[in-house]
Amino acid sequence: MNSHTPVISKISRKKKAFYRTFIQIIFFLIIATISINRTLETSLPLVSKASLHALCPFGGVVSVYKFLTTGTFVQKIHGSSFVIMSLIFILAFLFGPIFCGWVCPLGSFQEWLGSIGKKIFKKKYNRFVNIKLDKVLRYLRYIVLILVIVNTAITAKLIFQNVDPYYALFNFWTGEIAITAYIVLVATIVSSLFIERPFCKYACPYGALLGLFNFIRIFKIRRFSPSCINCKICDKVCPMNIKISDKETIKDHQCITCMKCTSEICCPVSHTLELISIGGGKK
Amino acid sequence: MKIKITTASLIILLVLFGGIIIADAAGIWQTSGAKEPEKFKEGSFVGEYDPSGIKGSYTFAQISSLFNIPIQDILYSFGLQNISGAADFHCSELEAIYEDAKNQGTEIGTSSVKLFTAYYLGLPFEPETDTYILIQTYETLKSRSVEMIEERLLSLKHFILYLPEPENYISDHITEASIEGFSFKGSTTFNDLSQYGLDIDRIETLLGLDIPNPNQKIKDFCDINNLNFGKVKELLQAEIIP
Repeated sequence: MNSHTPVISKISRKKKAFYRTFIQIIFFLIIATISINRTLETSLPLVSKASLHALCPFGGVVSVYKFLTTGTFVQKIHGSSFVIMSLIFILAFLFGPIFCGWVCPLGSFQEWLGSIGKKIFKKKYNRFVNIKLDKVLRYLRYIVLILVIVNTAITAKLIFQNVDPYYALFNFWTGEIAITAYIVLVATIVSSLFIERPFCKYACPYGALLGLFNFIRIFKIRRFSPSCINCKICDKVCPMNIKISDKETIKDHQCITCMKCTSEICCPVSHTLELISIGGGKK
Repeated sequence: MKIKITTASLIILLVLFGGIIIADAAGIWQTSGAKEPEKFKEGSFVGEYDPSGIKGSYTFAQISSLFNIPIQDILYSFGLQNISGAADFHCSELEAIYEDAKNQGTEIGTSSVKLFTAYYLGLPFEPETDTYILIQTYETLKSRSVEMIEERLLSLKHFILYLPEPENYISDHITEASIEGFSFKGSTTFNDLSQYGLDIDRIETLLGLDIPNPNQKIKDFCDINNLNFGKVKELLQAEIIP
């Protein structure tokens, strides 16, 4: 080890890791509360009565074509979806799919289920899928993205709702859910016990779109190789199974900017893995 | 420039919540649909509202106002002229009002309202092949001297339903309150009213009946005792909102 060896205490790392968990909890609770509030006879004070569709950024994405051609939104989508979509694009332009890693309630839900899987399967967790198959499956979400956008443009209806586990998760008690959405939700829950964030990795169309920002984002995860001790902890902790230890800059389309790999949380060497702007690397 | 986890956390919260606050202030944060259908963009009706854009969440009063159709014509055409507050029903509620039709594989719903509106005004409209209308709708349309109406009505003859007019229907969407926090719905219980100063004894006096269970829904109580819920509601509401 060199002069860069651990300087950050375990408590400090845990504390920093909790920042993300805290934000995940906040957004999960906000969405859950709004969703429950909609089904109550008497509304909770100060809680929005908005539908989940109105708060879904992907609803904005699938509405773009209709909005540009007719000036109106796809059924059930409103101006708020466009606002959230735009704000998340701003975040994605800065930090990539940080929405997936920090905000998305379905992503958080899968992650929390994954902690059960980790206890059961220990080191085997998140290593079940054959590497070659996994590599191919990672592109499946782009097919989903294209199918959803094209079919929504043709039908002007929110067709993804019928298979959307996010909508099913926050409305499972309402009787508004298509059986196919229940099936996808159950499949997501079960597979989360074996694979970390399975829906994000293989099927999420919004994650696919945001993933493209990893190629153009301003702040990227960078590895400072001279101080790296090659312990490969970063590879092990990455929920998206990205091999970080052999890269200088993480441009993988699957990175969700969870920052677990960084020197602030898991990397044992300070100032070795960091979120740095373009041209902001070490001299 | 390095971004630490604390900074990233703050930026996320700032961008999302700050952005929503700004959008709200700018009037672009809308979480429910604008109550205006699309307009015709071509043809001889350019600029007029297109009935095919009517949504299930539109009330009959809104349709009346948007398309300039007398509300009495709309309510009569859907058998609702004798129902209290029907102008404020959402047109999607027709499905629940005419539940029997649905059970028989037919449906009176939003598509029926679209068809009615288009034919009433002589606007272009392509109904779906399984759009049904009530006999009252047919009668109203027949009485109109709108271009092409005869030809259009001829194609509808197989889709006319003869259904009994509903005696009552309570919309879950309507809030008929003029005092803060009070909302008289189908799910309102006697106990709910007591929170607004109308105690059980007074209600028993007004109704001339004993109320064995104050937690019972008033609507259920009316059904059991063969009372007209609409009238009971008016009576009790008048006590709360003089």
